[in-house]
Amino acid sequence: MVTGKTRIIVFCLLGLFAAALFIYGVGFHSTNVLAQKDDSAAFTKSEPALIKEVSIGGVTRDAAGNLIQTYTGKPPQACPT
Amino acid sequence: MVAMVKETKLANLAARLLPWRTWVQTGFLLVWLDPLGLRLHNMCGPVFHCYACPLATFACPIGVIAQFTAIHIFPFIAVGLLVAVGALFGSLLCGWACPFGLLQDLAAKIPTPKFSLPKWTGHFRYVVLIATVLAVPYFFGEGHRLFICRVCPAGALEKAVPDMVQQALAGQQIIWPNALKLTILVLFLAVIFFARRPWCRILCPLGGIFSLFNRISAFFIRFELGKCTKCELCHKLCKYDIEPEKSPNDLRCIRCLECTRCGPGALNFGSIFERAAKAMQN
Repeated sequence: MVTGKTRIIVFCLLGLFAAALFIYGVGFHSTNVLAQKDDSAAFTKSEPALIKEVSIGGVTRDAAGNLIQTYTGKPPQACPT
Repeated sequence: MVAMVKETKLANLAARLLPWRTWVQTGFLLVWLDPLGLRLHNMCGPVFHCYACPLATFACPIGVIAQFTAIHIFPFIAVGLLVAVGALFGSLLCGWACPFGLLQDLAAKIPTPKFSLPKWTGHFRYVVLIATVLAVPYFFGEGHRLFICRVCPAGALEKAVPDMVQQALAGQQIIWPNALKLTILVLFLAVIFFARRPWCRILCPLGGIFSLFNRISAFFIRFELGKCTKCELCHKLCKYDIEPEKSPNDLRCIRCLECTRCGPGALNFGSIFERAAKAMQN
């Protein structure tokens, strides 16, 4: 049985952990993505932008391990899966 | 129905809201179904709702975790959000806010015979989580047929079916989802009338994650042994075959809070914040 005090401590620790992950993800985490068919044109995407990209199936990893955009021009409306 | 008077403000609020739970869930649809057309798909929502759906305010956290795993990037925002919501509420959002849960609750209102689900079936949620959200995406990418979004009934129901209807109405060729996704959807639609929340209890990876926090979350169900008369009314009130007096914050609990209606008041909705508030008063 979890006591009240333990629950408070665990909640504080988890809260801090979640806040650290969230703040890092929103503010600092970014990834380089290569434009399709043009390996020289790489651009940096923040994690929120990457979430939007994956939600439409807009980014994939190619055989060489590079992160590439799956479309050119107008982005697809929805994820193909 | 008159709500029972409880000892704490929070327990009282929960008792007052309990008869209106379906309406609370319906109210949350205004948040998830994007009535303002915001399409905030650069942020995850804390519920199971497909981002491919034309009516989705936020991105599905499970879809985002799976997609990020497929491209070998750690999803800091999605994991941070799930840890925060889990640490705060446990699986409370499953019972009170999830649109996919609401759909199953509404189907369960139809008076058909309801079958119990064996306890052990709840562990399948972790099989789904590890296999289709983490392992398959990591090793085989999003193109694999067992990638979560390729088998998810929420995606089938919220995106594939509306698309098919639209294509049929427009006289275009209908694009069918893959056979496995369609089979899971048909099975899901059949079973929700004969078992309560089958997806949430057997297969939902998001519910599986949230329920891991049930025993330690800031909001929880408190059992007071001194008040328990062993009447076992809570067993009847719980529709998910849990024995709340033995395990009030069980892994299988969706926190519908029905068990807190027990006569002697041995089960109450509580939080760590009440304790802090009491300490501040004293």
